[in-house]
This record gives sequence, structure tokens and C-alpha cells, in this order.
Amino acid sequence: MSSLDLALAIQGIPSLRGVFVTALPECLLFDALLSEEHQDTKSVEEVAMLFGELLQTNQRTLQLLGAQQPHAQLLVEHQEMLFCIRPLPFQFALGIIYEPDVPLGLVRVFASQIAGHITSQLEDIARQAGSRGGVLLDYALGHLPEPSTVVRRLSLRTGIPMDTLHQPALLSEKETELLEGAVCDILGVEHIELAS
Amino acid sequence: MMKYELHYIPQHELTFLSDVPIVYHSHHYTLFLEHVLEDALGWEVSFQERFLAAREVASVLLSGMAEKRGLTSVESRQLLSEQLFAVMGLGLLKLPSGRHDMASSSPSSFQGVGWLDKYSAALKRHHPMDALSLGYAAAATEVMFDFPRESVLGQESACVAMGARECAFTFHPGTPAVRMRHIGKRECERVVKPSFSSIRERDVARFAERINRRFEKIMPDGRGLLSRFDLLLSRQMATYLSRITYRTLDLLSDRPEAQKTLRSLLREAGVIGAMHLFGHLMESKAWQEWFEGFGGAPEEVILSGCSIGRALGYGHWCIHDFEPYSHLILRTPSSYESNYHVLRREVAREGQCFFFQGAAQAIAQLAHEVHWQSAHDFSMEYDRISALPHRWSAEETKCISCGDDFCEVVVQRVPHP
Repeated sequence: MSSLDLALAIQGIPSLRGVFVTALPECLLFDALLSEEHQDTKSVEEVAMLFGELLQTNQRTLQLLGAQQPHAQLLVEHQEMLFCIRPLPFQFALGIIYEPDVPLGLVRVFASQIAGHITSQLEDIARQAGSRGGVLLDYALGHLPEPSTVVRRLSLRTGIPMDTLHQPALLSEKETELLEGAVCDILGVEHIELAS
Repeated sequence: MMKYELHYIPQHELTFLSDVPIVYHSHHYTLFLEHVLEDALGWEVSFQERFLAAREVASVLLSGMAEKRGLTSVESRQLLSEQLFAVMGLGLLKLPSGRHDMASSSPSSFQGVGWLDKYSAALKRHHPMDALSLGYAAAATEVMFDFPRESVLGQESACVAMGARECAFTFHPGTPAVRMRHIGKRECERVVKPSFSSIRERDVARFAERINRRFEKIMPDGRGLLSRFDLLLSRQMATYLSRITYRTLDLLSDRPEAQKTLRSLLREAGVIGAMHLFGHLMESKAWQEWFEGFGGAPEEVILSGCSIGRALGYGHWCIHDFEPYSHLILRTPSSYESNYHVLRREVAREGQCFFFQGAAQAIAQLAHEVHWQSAHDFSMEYDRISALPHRWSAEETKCISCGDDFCEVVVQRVPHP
């Protein structure tokens, strides 16, 4: 899968210490960028994980409190730093660490700008991944015998629900790999040369 | 040879070779079925299950026939096993020459030759696939050398579907398997339901008898194969087919979504099998002799399909209702699928006659979607009909496996939304 261009996403935004993108719900580090002064930050993976967990805990709390829309931005003010965590589409969390002297109004504005950039990049990645799933499925339908049975057979082989296979743009990276493996297995080939 | 060993349950169109239920199927049905089972379980588990099922049924068949004929020598039992393999259309089989050299081979098997014909242009195989021949040969080895029943284990070390010149099998003694309940004529007689008649019963019965008589005369060619009507036919051990089908469903019991998908594909195997077999048969020159004046009108095709179903041992298929371009309802007071299910499994909550479901759908599609005046490749026809904007759906609304008095499949034309 393509990676994010975080440098592009934070271009022109001052007073940043670092940006973290966490894959939910497992809270795994997806990507991170630290300023030069903070390159030695330890446990980048752990920070990403904790940001993800904080966001999920916050969402669960809001749900328990009866909030209709539990997706909220979490802002933590500390005398040595500020950080905010907000949800991103496609099950990601964004964590941004600022210098402590950034006005809170600007923290929100910057966070919104960065989230917008990253969302756009995630959409591109999802489109690419989706198109790969779609191309794979098209290939399978064109090359496997009895095309009307292909989606069902692939669902049975991979465990991917039929509804998901009917919308290949929604396939995750892992599902796309499973799909490719199943098509290769049935065809009896090591790999498939796809046009795109 | 076949004539002396065949037994029937009258009014049910069920056939037994020695005491093993048999049905005719083409390679299109068995190969698609086995592909689907492999999709569900993976190659290794699926191959093993198919081997065990084939060994079980062949063991009953061969030991029963050897005993009935009083065959005591290794040579006579070997000859019986090899001849019977060919008579069933399963191919040529060379069985082990001695108890200490337990290797066997098949230069032409129904499964291997069938796979090359049907799939080799599109697919390559990296795993052996002929578990049916392996299981049969293991059972023959047991009978020849007096090993305990269902004890010999085997491997397919080379397979024609993988490019080998012949399928090669090796065997070694193992622990006998726990015997499953026998499914023979007497057992089936106890679970079939009272028979009934079809619309146009006299015609259906007359055609069925005519077709069955001709099919029983089909003898193997030099490859041990029943090559007729542009198909490879076989006299399949019905219990083998049922055991591998229901066992695979059982092994998916913790994956309800996958079970649902498998059921749909099992029905599709019936559609594919019947569309090829019934379609090729109705298009053949022989059909014009058997069914004078056949022109392909929907009523004629429905009548033909029902007759073929009876003739090939699937059960006493009856047309219960038919409205052209609307619906077809078939019923049967027994089927090889329901017999197996009732005798070996708990009462079901939904229809279990997957071949019956698919075949009924295929008959309706052959009646309405095929232009009988021109020649057909039914592989292309299946793909063409499957891609039509309107669909035919089949639902088993009654099933003996569920405790009903008959099995009923309702096929309906579903307009494009």
C-alpha cells in the first residue's frame, strides 16, 4: 500500500513537534513525522498506540453519556506541550503534538487543515487499493471458468463476505492479498500480471 | 456384467450395483462439485475426505461382489475390481501385483481425463486431484489381500491433471476406520415415501424406461471411459457424492456464512451438471429416435428432463405443476440425496437435495433459454444463460430430510429488477 506524505500535509504549519497516524481499532502505527528537534522521541509506536486508545476511550465515554455523534476531537493542554487527537476516515486516528505556546484557536485550525490533507491522501490510497481489488476481480471473472460462480467461490476460499466482494473498493489490504492468493490458487499460477 | 448386479426399488427409480446406490453423472458435475469442496476446505482436507468416502463405498461394493461371486484368489478379485472400475466409467486401473508392492496406477481415469477436457485450457493444477480413484484402488487392495475393510491408506504421487502420463498411487496398511451406517437397497426401502404420479405420467415413465435401457447398454471404450453425447459419463457411487457433500457442510459448521455460500454452489453444481448432461442428451441424434418429433418446445423439454432424471437414477421425479415462462414444480418421493441424509444425519431444517434443486432449475432454463434449432456448446450455453438479465431461482420447499412426505423444488422466473 502507498504511504502518506505527511511532510506535504503539514507544509506551512508552524510550531509542530510531531504528527502520528494510527490504524484503528488495533491502534497500530500507520505513519509518523517528527520535527528535527524531536527526532529522538522514543517509542513512536507506543505513542501512536496510546493516541489511538485515547480516541477510542473518548468515543466510548461519549457513547455511554448518550452522545448521538461520538466522533470528537480530544485536546490535551500541558505546560510542556499541547496535543490533539481526532478521528480520520477509513478507521484511522490523527494525533498532533504542538509547542505549548500555540494559541488554542490555531491548534484547532491547524488540526483541521492537517486532517483535511491526510484525509485526501487516505482517499487516494483507498481508491488505489480498491481499484486493485476491482482489477483482480475483473481478472478473475475474465479468466476463471464458470464466471457466474466466481464471486461465490472466491468468497468461500477467502472467507471474505460476498457483499464485500461485490464492492471491491472496500477491500482492505489484507483482503486484497487474500483475494489475489485465491485467484492464483484456482488458476494454478504463482502471480498475476495485472494491467494496472 | 452390469445386468447381473443391478437391483432396483420399483416406483422410485433408484438403482443399486450389488448393494451400492449408483447414479449417472458427467464429468461436468463431479469436477465442479469437487472444485467447490476444495474451495471450502482447502486441497489437503478435501482430498482426504474424498479419499475416505471413495474407499468406504468401494469397499462395500467390491467386498460384497467378491463374496457373492465366491472369488477367493487375489487374481480373481483383482480382475473384478479392474473390470468394475471400467464398467462404471471410472477408467483403467492397474492394481498392485503383490502384498509387498502396493503401488497402483491409472493411465486414464474419469477424473483425470475429465479435468483435462474441462479445465486444462484455463487452469493448471499443482495438487493431485483423483481421490476417487485412489479411494477405490485402496478398497480394491484391501479386498485383494484381505486387509481389514477401510484400513488401507494411500497417496496419489502423480496425477494426469498435473501433467503426468498416468495417475500413480501408493498404499500402506493403516488402522481400520469406524464404519458408518450402511446404505443399501433394504435400508433405502425403509426411508422412501409412498410414490405418486407425474403430470403426463405415462409419457414420463415410457421415456424414462427407454433412456435407462439405452444407458445400461453403454459400455466403456478402450480407456475405460463411457464417452457418449460429447460427454464423459460415469456410474457414480451415490453414497460417495453424498458423503463428501454433507461432510463438507459439517466441517463449515462454525462458518454459517460460508455454509450458506457452499449450499448455493452445491445447487449450482446441479445446474451445471444437468445443463450439460440433459442438454447434450436432448441435442443428440439418439434423442430424436427416443423422443419422436422433439422440437424443443418448453413442455417437451420439461417432460424430457423429468424422464432423464428418473432414467439416470436420481429418483421418481414428477412434474407437479408447470406454467411456461413462469414456474416449474418438481416433486419426488425419494432421491439418492434424501436417502443418504435420512439414514445418516439428523432431521434437517432446510432442503438438502442440492442436485435436485440445481437440476430442476437447469431443466427450466433449458426449456426457455435454449434455441434448440441450432447446435450448442453447453459450456458456452451455461455461461450465456447465467449472464442473462433475468434469472431462474430454485427453492426446495419440501424435503424428506426435513420430515416431509416428498421433496419439492419450485423453480421460478425472476424478472430483471
